[in-house]
Amino acid sequence: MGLSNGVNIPEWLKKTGEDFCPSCAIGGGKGFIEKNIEAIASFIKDVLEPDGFADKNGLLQQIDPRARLLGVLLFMVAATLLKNALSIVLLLSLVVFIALASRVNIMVLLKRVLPALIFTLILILPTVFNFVTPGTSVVTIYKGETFYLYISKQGLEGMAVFLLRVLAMVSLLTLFLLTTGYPNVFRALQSFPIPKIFVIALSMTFRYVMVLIKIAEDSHFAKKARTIKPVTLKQSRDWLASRIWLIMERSMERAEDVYLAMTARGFDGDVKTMTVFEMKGIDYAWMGVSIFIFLLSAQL
Amino acid sequence: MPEPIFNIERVCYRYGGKYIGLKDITMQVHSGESLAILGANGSGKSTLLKIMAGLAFPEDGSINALGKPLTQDILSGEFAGFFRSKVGFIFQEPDVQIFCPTVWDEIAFGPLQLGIEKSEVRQRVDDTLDMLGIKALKDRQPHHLSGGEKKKVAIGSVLSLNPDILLLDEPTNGLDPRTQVWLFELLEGLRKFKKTIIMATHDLSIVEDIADRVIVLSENHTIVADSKPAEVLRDKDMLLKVNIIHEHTHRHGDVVHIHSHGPFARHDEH
Repeated sequence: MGLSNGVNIPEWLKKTGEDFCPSCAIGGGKGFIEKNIEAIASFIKDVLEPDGFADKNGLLQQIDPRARLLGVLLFMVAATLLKNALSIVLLLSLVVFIALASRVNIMVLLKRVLPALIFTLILILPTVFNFVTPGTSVVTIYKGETFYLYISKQGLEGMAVFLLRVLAMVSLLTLFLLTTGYPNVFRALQSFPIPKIFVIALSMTFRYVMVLIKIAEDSHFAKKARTIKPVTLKQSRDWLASRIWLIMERSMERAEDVYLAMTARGFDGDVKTMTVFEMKGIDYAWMGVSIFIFLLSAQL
Repeated sequence: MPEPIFNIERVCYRYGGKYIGLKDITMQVHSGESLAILGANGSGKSTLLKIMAGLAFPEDGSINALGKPLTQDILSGEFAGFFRSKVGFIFQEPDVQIFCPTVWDEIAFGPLQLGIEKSEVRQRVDDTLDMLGIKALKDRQPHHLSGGEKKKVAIGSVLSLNPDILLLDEPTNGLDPRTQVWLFELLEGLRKFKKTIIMATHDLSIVEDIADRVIVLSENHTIVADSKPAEVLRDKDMLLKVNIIHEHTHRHGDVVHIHSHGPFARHDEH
């Protein structure tokens, strides 16, 4: 052992190696867990940090967030009430028009809506077959003496209507989130008869999920920085489990600290804000259109 | 002039592809250098370190490390093992770095992965615990330690790999003065044994003690100075401009005067 300014540096730590490794091979790719951590982090960030549409001077952005939310909810109910594909397509056209008038990039909207659509498609795929929706055969898959499997016209129609309905509803909700920005989403929610504690809990979750994602990402980087040889799947799983535990522990500690900090500043369960929403002409017009569409859909 | 261990050419980086983190960074680091990357909060110091550690990758420009272009692909093959054993990264937040059940396991994690003989691993862990003065904590769970102790464990977990290049992100953050002095002495000791030390900091007081070269990042995420510590610290206008020091008015009896100072005040204008 050597002595250096009071710190004992062991002999092995004094040694240095070659700076370069000309023979080192290049290759490989990211592992399953690494890809997933990155993808999940990127997805959540993407969802929580919309691309700045909320600041644009568009149609929806000019409408009071409360009226905006109520209008979107009425449109969504209308989408569930409409029974035929054509009327839902008309509603969808209106959604596209609102998106364009709100200066929202249709491709961005589509990118966010697509996963929900694909997920729904997978879920309802069996309904096109005659064993769920019998009717007129469009495509025969198997025809035996005792068993007959085909895709029915009624099944296809039902699936199309359902998918269009989901597309309309998810597009509306996404449009609202893209054009509103999270602080106003929660302020708008507070105006509705929803217990405030739920809105606060939701708002805190959104605020701190980014902090927790940062911890998860940094933990992954820290491990990567010390990973010299490829680890086995079991080791990766063990590490992932320990990280999940750490993040849970950290989130609980953070929740406790945040609550204490809020209490110390006079929080008594009721959040008071400076924001005063004022209903203007455009808000009433928007509400009028929403109510009209809602009533029309109930009649169709 | 020997080949640099890091050769960074016109590197640009954006957070999430949106917000600028680094702009047009060109620099080289040679083996055995002791480099401080100075900059105000948000100037891109940590990002630059992460790029050098192969944990983030530039959007534009290139980085060569240890003779190879540092890309995601290269860090998945044989070179990755070589690179990770050569380059140690000490995170600002020790909590993210420690993940084993006990302090002992944490420090043994790296050497075990290197495939070192178990008796040698034991020796390394014991030496490291001894060097860090945390032998008594060896069976404790890292998450239940104090901030300073966690930092020591995080440092130990990297040093036990015996990396030749040490990247430290804000190493003095959250350390009490005594632990800070201990860290300076440790880094000074490692420097004597030709280890390359690169640290991101906004703490001017440690720069002259530890670094023999300083790079200053501006709030515009570009390099505004690359020189010897004494020269950089003399350039008060530049330090004021990049927000590392600030102007401060105070009174000495009847005399009121303005002078600049940064953290750990440099009151040399009295």
